[in-house]
Amino acid sequence: MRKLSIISLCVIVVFGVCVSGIKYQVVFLRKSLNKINNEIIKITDDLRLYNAEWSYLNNPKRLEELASKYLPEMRPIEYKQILRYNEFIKTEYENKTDAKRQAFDNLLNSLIQ
Amino acid sequence: MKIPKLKINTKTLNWNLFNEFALWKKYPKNDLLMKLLHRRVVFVIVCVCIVFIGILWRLMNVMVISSCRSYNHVYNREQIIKKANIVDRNGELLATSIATSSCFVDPSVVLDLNDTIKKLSKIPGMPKPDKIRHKLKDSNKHFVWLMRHVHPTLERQIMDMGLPGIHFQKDYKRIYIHGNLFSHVIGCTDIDCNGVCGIEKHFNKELIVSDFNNKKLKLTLDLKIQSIIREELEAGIKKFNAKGGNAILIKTNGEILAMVSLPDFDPNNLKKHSNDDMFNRNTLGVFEQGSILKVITAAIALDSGSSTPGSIFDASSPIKVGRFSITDFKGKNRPLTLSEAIVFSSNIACAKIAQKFGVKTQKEYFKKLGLLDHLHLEVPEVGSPLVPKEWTELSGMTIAYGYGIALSPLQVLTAITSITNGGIKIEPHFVIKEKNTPQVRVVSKETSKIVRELMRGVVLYGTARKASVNDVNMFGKTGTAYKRKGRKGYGNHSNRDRLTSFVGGFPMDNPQYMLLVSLDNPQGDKTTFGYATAGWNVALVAKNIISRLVTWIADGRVNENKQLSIQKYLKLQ
Repeated sequence: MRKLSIISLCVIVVFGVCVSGIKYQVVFLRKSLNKINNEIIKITDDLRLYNAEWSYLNNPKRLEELASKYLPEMRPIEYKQILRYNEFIKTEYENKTDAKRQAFDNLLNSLIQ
Repeated sequence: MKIPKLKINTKTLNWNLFNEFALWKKYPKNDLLMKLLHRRVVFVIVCVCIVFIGILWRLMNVMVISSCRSYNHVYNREQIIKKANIVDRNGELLATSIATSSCFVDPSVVLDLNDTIKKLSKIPGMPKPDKIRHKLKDSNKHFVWLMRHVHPTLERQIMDMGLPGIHFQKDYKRIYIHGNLFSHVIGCTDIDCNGVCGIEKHFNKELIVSDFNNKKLKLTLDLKIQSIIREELEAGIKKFNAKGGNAILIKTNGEILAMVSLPDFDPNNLKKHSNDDMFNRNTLGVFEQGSILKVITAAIALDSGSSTPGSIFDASSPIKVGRFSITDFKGKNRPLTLSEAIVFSSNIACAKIAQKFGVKTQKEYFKKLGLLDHLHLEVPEVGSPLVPKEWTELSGMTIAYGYGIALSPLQVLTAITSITNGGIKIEPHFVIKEKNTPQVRVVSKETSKIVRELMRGVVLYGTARKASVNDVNMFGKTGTAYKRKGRKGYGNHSNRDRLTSFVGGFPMDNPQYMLLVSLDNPQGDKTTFGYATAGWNVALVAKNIISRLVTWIADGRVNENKQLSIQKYLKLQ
């Protein structure tokens, strides 16, 4: 009876220590997890801020002002400068001499390659 | 007395302290018994000590360690509103939430109120001393916001002071990247990130999500197009000295690409704006739209079969109804075909066209086009149309040329788009729809085609000639309406206010985009020879917008000018 009691007590103590150890291990792990989660939140918050800043820097009006300041020789493309391929063939290509057509074909091929 | 020798067998001894005490009382001098008893008492004391240490540890845990998480019960993280991003159709960021800090005070912990106020008010950017005192005066409170969304430098300065009772809480602030550009559509939020107007209010529940990093609301709007339209509209308002203006670009399937209303406001800083700036002219404002409604009159006449493009209506003299008379601005003073009535914008002829198809038909078509009902849109600022209580023959005649009914610009654009896109009713929307809604036909394909030709005629030969962009196969209609001044009517010739509008689209054969531009009370100048009608001002604004947009949207370009089928009904000299 006494032996059994001692064994039971030992088992209880061992289990108690184990459970307590596991508990504090969990607490420690939870703290680490919280720390990592907080770091993730901080990084995503920073990312949100950088995205906002990037979008602000890409504001069309700001880009237009910068372009007019630093690229004064360049202008926005006008709709007249854009031709469909069929229109181009009809209006420009067919009126050119053979040599110019050949030069254009070469240019086109080099671009495709 | 001889002490009997006891044979104590641990196996036979009952494991009970009381039994041992009883034995000890009986044989107090027995060493073995004493030893055994002593050991057991020590064991019990050790057990009790362990239990007490456990209890003490738990008490310390609860009272000291856990108490460090103070104020979590007052304002925990779950209460902070996190809102998802709003992006345009190309994924460009329009509105986002950024992490900030907010300062709060526990007045019950503040030791020296005067000293705290004095120290805090010294920091530049903090509220005035009276305001701080007002917030901290009640020492029974445990939580008072001192300042929301504090700048990091300010936060550092306050933290460095180490004042008791002053704490910081992580918070999120809604910011609008492009300031005024989308103010009327996206709207704004209050300090707690709850939407108060625009899309922010309509989608408030959907935008508040816990996983706000991976969710976003994608709109049909286009940042670049919106920027172009706002720039040109602002320039137009400045050039023609107008009070304000508005513009909408819509795809013919109902997707709103751009919506600008000027004056506007900066949703990041609402304090410096008046209520007028917050007014969305495109959806909330209802106005008598003037001659642009003649497009609808022509569509009704053609679709109902009451008239053809060649039907003749006498516009040689004004129509007199009671004390009212219907006249033309720069009229032709001759009988006009229906085609000419639209191209030359004749009020008299349009009133007669409406007389011919009748009030009942007119009302039916207006109902079909959604002009008599409240428009369903993803913003709460939507005005209801003002329609006549009794739809008499006279009201039918005035409605035919755009008076006697007040509609919002978006509603008119929706109706005209439904007519010109092939006759399919559209529902304007800001959020890309995943499912296609069933198609409802409002006018026939043939009617739609003729109406487009009539509007093309207006651009080639009529009042919208200044809106014409070379090589762009566009169509349109201008409208100039006098604004009602309450009970005073429209005022006299010297003090009348105008609303000038242009509605049009491109390309003509297969319309993809529709545009409506309006200017509020533009003034005539030397360049317009004193004229302030739509053809002299808003048509130019529309031309500038379309010529810039066509670079992006090349579909509107043509090489050849096709002969219009209605050409034969136009007497251009």
